[in-house]
Amino acid sequence: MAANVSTHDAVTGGSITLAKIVQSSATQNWSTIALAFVASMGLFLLRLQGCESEALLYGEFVAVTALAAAVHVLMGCRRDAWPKIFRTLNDSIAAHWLMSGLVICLPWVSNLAQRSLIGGRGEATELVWLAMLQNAAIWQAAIARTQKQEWTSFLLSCFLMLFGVATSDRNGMLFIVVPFGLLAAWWLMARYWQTIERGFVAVDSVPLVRLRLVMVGLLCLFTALVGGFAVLAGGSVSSWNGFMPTSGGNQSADSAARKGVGDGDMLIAAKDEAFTFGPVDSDLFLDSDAPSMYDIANDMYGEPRARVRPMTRAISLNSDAKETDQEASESKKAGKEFSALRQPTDRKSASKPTDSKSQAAFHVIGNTPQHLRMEAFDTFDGVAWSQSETLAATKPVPVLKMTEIAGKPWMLLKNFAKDLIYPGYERLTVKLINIKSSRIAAPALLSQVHIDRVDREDFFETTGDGQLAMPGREFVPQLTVVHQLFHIPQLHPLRDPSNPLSQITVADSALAIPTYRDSKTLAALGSDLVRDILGSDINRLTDWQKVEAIVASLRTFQVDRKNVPTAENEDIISFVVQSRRAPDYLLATTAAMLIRSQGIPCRLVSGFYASPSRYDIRAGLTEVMQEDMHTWVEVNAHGVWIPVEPCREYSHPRYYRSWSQWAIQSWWGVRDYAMNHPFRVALGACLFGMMILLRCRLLDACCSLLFETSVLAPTRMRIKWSLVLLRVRMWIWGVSKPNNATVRSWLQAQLGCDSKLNDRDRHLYIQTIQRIAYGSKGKAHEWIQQNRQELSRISHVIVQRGMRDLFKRGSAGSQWDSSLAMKANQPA
Amino acid sequence: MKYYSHLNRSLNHDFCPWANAYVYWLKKPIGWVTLAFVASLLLGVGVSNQAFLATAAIVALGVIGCLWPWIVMAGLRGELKWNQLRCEEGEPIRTTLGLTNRWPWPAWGMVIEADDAISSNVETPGQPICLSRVPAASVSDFQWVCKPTQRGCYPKKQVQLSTGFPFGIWTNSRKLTVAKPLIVWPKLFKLTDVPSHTGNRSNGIGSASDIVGDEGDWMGVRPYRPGDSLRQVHWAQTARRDSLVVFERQSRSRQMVSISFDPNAAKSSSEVQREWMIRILASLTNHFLQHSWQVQAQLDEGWTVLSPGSSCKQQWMDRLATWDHKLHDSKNVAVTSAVRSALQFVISTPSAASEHCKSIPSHERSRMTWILVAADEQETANLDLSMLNHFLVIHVNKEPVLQLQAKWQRMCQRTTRSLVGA
Repeated sequence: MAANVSTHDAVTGGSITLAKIVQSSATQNWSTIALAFVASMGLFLLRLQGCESEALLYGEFVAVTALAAAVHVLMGCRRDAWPKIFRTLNDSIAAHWLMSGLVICLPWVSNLAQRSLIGGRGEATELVWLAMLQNAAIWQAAIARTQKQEWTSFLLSCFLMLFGVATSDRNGMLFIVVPFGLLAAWWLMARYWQTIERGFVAVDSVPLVRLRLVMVGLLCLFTALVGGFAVLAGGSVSSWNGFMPTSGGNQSADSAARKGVGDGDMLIAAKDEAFTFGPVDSDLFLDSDAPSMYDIANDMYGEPRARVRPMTRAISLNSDAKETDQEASESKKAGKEFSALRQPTDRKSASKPTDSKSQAAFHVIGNTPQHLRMEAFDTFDGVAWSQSETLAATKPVPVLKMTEIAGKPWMLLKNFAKDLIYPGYERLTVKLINIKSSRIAAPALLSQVHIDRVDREDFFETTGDGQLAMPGREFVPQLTVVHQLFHIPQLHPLRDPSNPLSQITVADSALAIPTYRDSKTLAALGSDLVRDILGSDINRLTDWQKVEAIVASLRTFQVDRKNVPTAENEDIISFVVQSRRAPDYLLATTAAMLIRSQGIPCRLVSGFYASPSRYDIRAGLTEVMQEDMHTWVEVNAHGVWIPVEPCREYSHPRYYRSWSQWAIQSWWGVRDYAMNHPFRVALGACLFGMMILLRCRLLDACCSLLFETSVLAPTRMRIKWSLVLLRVRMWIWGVSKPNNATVRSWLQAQLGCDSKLNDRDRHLYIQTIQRIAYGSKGKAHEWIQQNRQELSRISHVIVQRGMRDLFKRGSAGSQWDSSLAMKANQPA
Repeated sequence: MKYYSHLNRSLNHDFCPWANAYVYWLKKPIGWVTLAFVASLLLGVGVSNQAFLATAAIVALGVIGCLWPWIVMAGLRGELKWNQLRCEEGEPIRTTLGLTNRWPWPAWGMVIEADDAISSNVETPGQPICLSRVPAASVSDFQWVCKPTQRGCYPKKQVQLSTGFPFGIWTNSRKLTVAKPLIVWPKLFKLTDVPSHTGNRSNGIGSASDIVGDEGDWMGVRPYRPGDSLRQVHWAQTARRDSLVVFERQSRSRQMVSISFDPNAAKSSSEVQREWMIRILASLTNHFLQHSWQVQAQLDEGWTVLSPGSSCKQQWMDRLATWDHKLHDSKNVAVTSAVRSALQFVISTPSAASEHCKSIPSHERSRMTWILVAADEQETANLDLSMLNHFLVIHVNKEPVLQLQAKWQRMCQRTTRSLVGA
């Protein structure tokens, strides 16, 4: 009795804190030394850069590593197993100091030897010191016995790795940093766990939610939705705006920035490395061989085919009539005409990815995919798109006014009807690299634009087709960074039949009425396509839904740039519809014509498609190459040009701006579906409710069905399987086996509830389970063989209870009575 | 060897202790992480952008390491309770921590921060109580058996549940509620025998009974025993027999004893001695109460009368469990004589007893038996204890319990022998 209270115990009445125990625990394991090895690899790579004798360096590294590993192994063994010499060395403080000194000074000695023996210049002094530190870290990890020593080694390793990352530009460093980071995180976790694991106490838990499967299921569903969306978004989620000045972010700029799109704002023109802003006209850019939009279109889609001119008899004019090539020169003028009849192109060369950054037309920071418009065409004569006379004659609209956002001058271009756009702006930054055009690539609903330090309104204009351009210059200087704010269209008013905005057809507009020669046939064709997609209820659709149906229909076609109509076949629309494969500009043309056939105004747009697949993670931007030139359609809805994408190789333009808007839009879709199909929704809801209500019974029945999978299995396996399923069923009903209950006591209680089993059955089953669990394999097998028939029956009865009670009313069936369950949970 | 030890000492010498206050944060993991973050940031800005990779990793480590404990703790509620409300020092007691985890994910790696006495498991002594995992959305009971080693009312400090999981770089805590406090009584040692009464003062109270004693009506005569009062001498019988004969009277129904705790000793003694004095006081009180004695006990100022019975004992033990000498100003309190008791025990230390016993009148001092708790033999070697008529010395560095039991028994036997011999 007296021994129960020791003098020391009586005196020390302190308290335990986590900080105390973390500091006190001592451990020895391999993670610390592994961490030191990985860190030393980083420094080793650094040393290799300036090393004269790689063999010597390798030798030194291997020697230290091997010695440290050997010492660590020996330190982990029992003292009795140590070699005598090691025991002697370990007991001697002098030997400790000597060995540590030798190992730590080895790089210095090696460097000295390198200089004196080989005659080289050796290593840089700071590298030698770092190498000594590296050896200290390894040696400390090898001989560590206390946690403080391990922490010392860990911190030295972290320092070395940080230094290595900061000073080395070898690519291999990345392959060391990542494992080191993971290992360091694991080391920290292991240290923490080791400090507390000896004090673990037993736990007995009861779930708050009776069936957590529902929550797990909801979580899985949510994860699947998010994952699915991320996959469908095609990586666009990774192209979020940068946040640091030097990372190319567009939230701020830094005059000291060295990389990224945002750099050009602040730097001056330079000849060798032209990181410049600019509306700066320099010789460098004037001599540039950057392609114009016309060149890009020709490279991309092929040269326009000469039209087969109708041959008619004529009388020649008098000889003094002057020949003019005015028409030919105009046809080549960018922004005036787009021929839909072209030579087939070699798609392979056109789509060949270009690995040089200088080949990019421009860089984009912002969400992708993005349709960036350059030109728009509103008139189609059956072969070529052009801008109508009225549009061509329209004078460029000067910018309305200049505003200031966050101290920067922003040009306000246009205000859109609030009903058709989401509130707030989306931001996009475009850096022009290799394109010669006075027009600036921009999204459809561009609202404001900003070029750093450009605060004069006459720097901008909007062309007749609504495109942003810089007047008075042949092309916008290279490397100009253009920040843009644009809107995202809100489509719900267009999809809602009860909304007056859903009516977007125009009776007598040049945009709505096709100028195609066979407009009636075209209208019928369009209606047929819509019917193919939506069935016969075309009249119930809103105009926008018709557009969506036509686009959805065309997105079943294949994009094939080689498949162009022959010179004789100028009926482009029929060709596309019949062959169901065509280049994107023909698909866009077909879409535009079919949409117009429904009386909906639309136009053809050419520009660039910023693809998420071209996102450069390191630079934080998306490259837009010349081969990303693309053609699509814009539909006019109450003055707002909304892009639609008829090619299935290209993503739909985004119709939501944020997750919340996506959720709202989805909710509108669900609501519309529910209102249109009330019976289906009500039935589904009832079924779902029933499933939730009967979830335990259903899962119980599933367990019973699962048991049938073992029908061909040996009896021993069936019995074990039945026990597993019994435990699962009990878990489903919230009466899991307590940790402190034996299998026997638990089974006695559980099987007692089953009226189809008599006492002998229960006893036989429990005895068999115990024999399987604890007895010898041979005797258990013998026992099972003796009672095989009965055991099969009992197992079946036990597990099939879930099926029997699936539709039984009341709680006496498969639903375990709670009091009985609680009683069953009491340990015997 | 000397040089190595010098080297070792110089390497571990604190050359600038004044700076410790400023760099103490570096001794914590969060300090290292912060330092690494700043260093990597500076390297990224000034040396190479690649260092921002390390910055990102450190930030991720820091954010996860700090946020996760905070998130986990926000979903946990717990209550600590014991299977009984009172126990003695060293008595195993089952402790239950009920934890509710409201999060749909489990919580890992937690530690209970509390007084050592209640937060260590008897199966893993010296190791704090740790919880490996609290299942998601569940109510869990963690049980362990602890042995409180020091008297007191527990918890003395706020009981907290802490976690530094996953990296241990930042610890977040949540207070645990305590259903009812645990009162740990001083350890009670089993003593054998009780001392016989000698002297001329009554040590009994209550109504007189026919049991032979020294009070009430006289029942007969008996030969004189040393210590009997001369007033009780039956002179007629004495003359007739030519030897002293005294009256034999009725005795009171209950014996009474006084036990006092020397407040001066409590002030000047070490904590070990003080704890042992408390334990001896508790053991003596308990011993006499078990023998149905009425006990007059003095802990601070004034006497407390304890009658045999569980309620009195419980109140007294609770008082002893929670008594703290710092809370009581004992400079003017001295050992006083009990009013009616003929038998008085004073628990003190040798130095305090030798110093203060002179102030006690000799006739009162003669009735006192001193139980002196000494730290070791040296403490009593140079002291003059001759002024104390009766005393026992218990050295706490040598099995004090066995010493007390043996010396107590010897003392009881001696008083009985003296009576019988007389």
